[in-house]
Amino acid sequence: MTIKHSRMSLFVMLIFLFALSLSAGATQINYTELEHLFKEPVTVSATGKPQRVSQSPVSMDIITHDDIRRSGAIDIPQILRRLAGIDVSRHYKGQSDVNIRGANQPLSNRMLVLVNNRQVYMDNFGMTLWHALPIHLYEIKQIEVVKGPNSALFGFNAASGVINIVTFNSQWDNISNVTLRGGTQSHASAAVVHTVKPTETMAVRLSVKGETSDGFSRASMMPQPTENDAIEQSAFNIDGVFNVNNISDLRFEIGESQQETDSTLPFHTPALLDTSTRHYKLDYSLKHHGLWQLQLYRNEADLEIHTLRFFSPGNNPPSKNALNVFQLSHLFSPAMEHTVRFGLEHRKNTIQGRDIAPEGGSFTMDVSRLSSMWHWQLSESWHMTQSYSADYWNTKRTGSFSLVEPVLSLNVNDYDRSESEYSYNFGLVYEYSPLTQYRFSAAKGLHVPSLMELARINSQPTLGTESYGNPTLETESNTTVEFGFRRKLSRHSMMLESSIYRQQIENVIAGTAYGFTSFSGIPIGGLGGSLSDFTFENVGDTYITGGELSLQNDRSQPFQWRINYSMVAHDDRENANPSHYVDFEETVPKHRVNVLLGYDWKQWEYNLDAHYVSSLKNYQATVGDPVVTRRQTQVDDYWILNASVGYNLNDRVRLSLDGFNLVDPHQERFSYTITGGSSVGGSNKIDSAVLFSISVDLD
Amino acid sequence: MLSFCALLIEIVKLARNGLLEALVLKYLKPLVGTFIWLVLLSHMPARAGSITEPDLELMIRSLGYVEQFSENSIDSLFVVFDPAIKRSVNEAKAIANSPSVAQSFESIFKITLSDFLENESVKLAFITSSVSDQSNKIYLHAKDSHVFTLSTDKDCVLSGACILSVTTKPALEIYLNERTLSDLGFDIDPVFKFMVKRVGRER
Repeated sequence: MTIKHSRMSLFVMLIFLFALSLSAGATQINYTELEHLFKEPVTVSATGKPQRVSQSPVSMDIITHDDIRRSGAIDIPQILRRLAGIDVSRHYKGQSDVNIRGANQPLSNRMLVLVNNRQVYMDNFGMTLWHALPIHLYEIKQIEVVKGPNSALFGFNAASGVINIVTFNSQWDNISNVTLRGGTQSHASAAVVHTVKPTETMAVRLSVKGETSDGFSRASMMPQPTENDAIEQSAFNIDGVFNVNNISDLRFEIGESQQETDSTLPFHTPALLDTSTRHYKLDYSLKHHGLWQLQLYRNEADLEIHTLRFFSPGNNPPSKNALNVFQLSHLFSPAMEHTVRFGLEHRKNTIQGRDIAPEGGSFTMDVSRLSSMWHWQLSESWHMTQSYSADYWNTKRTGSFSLVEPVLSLNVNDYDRSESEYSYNFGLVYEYSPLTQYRFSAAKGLHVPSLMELARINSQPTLGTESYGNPTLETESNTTVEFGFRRKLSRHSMMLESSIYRQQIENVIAGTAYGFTSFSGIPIGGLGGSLSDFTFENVGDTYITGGELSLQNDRSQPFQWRINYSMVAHDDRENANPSHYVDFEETVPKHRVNVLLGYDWKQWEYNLDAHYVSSLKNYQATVGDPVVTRRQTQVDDYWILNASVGYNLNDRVRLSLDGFNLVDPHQERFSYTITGGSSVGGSNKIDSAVLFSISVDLD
Repeated sequence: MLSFCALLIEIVKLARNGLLEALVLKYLKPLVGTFIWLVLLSHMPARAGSITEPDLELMIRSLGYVEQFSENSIDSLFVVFDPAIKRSVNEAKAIANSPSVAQSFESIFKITLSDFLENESVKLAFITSSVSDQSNKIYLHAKDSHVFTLSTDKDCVLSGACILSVTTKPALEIYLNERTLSDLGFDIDPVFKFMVKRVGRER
């Protein structure tokens, strides 16, 4: 601990010395000011270069602070559902699976999620606990959604896309607010965000939030080993900026969150997740011959799982995951038509605990990467962007473990492994006119197996199961070719966007399960040490063909509308392994239609969003029985209708009545059966909810 | 609005009875057809207009990214026009009457090109359209007198007479002539540079 702290202190001192030795220039990227200047959101998530969204070479959307505020949404998946190409499936009030352009599944892990460029995607299971993010929706400046692979810029796991949540910068944005909310399902939540400027060169924003709520329908919930509510959550975050001098800033973040919620784990396992996260971040920006950025952060996550499957109910010791990241980048223009970015990154990911090393020890993954980006303005109408990344990763296990009789032959040396990978992004943009843009892009993204997929060890002979990771898993890759089009219809203040794409996901990582060894077709579980096995394997490739069409009017109009349609078609080409839990052809809805309407009248704001999702099939979870089942059930197509009415009492106080899923209680994900004793079946239906909130802006 | 709702209903109907899947999923022809339609749509002519208040607001905001002006604010704006050219005169009037310009500068002076070329006290000059035909003279004088030149006429930047041009119709565009910027001795925020169209001309 002492060594860790002294290293950190040394880093900070070096940063200060470097900064103080320079002079002349300006400071960090001011998103708010640039948005006012260009009359549209700006982003660095497309290529690493500051860009207007309308000029990015990738397909992307930005959800603004105002979109979030008007929506009345209580979590981010609810807002993401509005976008074309985003697949959102809600299991519980506190858990949703989100993926971009198909290939969605429980604990979707192909999409990287960041908050201010800090990874909040958790490497243990490869998941994002949206509800547990230690930020309040009110402090979000914008949510940047990049569709398609972007590993060349962000590294592993930006395989299907990236969501970067950008919060306000306390240096420029004085955000202070109190929000109280209550309603059906015994929902009660409170959040306070407050910005202070103790000195002229320093600004700090503090946010604290807490929430408690039942699930949508307790009667239909999976029986839990404890009597907890569906969600209990609390978090705080401190986000400060220190203006070192007129060319450099030091931004720091410290935060913590605690959450207890129902969740679905791999193999469609319902569970109660008890999660505790902490993070510490330093982000130093310098404007000197371009833009330099140095980012250091540490994420810690303790995860406690309670389920009737794989684990004994009761007090289980948590698995502990720690991620340390060092990132350095330099963006500059060597010549007028050229912009270049170089990046260097190292990350160390360690997990320990009962799920990884029941007899002590740990599993570690180190990743080093070099990346580059080159933007070339070929002419006034054409520009091209190329990004490349070379990644080197290695893994190591310490401590011993034992399994009774795994189907996969595991060798302890398999855990000491190193691999090299590469990824790229290529984008060519043709601006036919100031209003019309054509895009062509090709990209390869990488999804490295999660720590659990590689190294999980859980043997439960008394329950008749063994669950373990597979250290020989190959990295999954996503190669995408896309053609896009963007047209501003100035006469009607409308924007029309469209894209068609083809993706190939190679070496799909999936849970595989093997039943008891049998005699003449009769299972002999529990006899002779025979166990059912739950593990992970590369099960083949899937090809995805899809398209998106989106039309919207200018957001500054009193009457706002937006409509989009997404189509996605999978073609699974599996290898000869019949034991896997993946079937994208059937389990991902093919069609989605989203309609958003908004109207402002005097102090009133009316918002309505409707979503149509076509039917799908899904796997059926089994509880209380370790026998392998891969039965599928039909999930009918469904509508979601959300409506929000806001009344601005004055410039500072806003009252809001928000209704969710008002027309159609429906099932979005799995069905379940409980066997043993009396056999029970059912599904988790997403019910309606109505919440009332009061929001007060403070001075 | 009605046609918009009708379209939505039709899409949902098609999706419900499986026709959409048959049409879109298996053959992809409608997608291709949509793209052809989009391509045709993209060839609708774009409208351009004269100088507007949003253009001037954009101009004023852009000046905030010039290092010399962010450190020391500038009080006076000189609008260079040609009395013989109606468009130039109208632009000069529009700027002089602009509320946002009036709010940002203590003094706004309309000045003819010939007067501008003889005046060494000008530090910030807006070059109206058509006047930029005299680009070489403007450039040389701006260089000698350290004048920041800007316009809503892209050609002024392309010719090298102006450092910056801004326009909001038909789409928001900012052009920056880096060579002129450097020759005239000004610096601009690197983030701003990364986000605008940068041009340069050998002189």
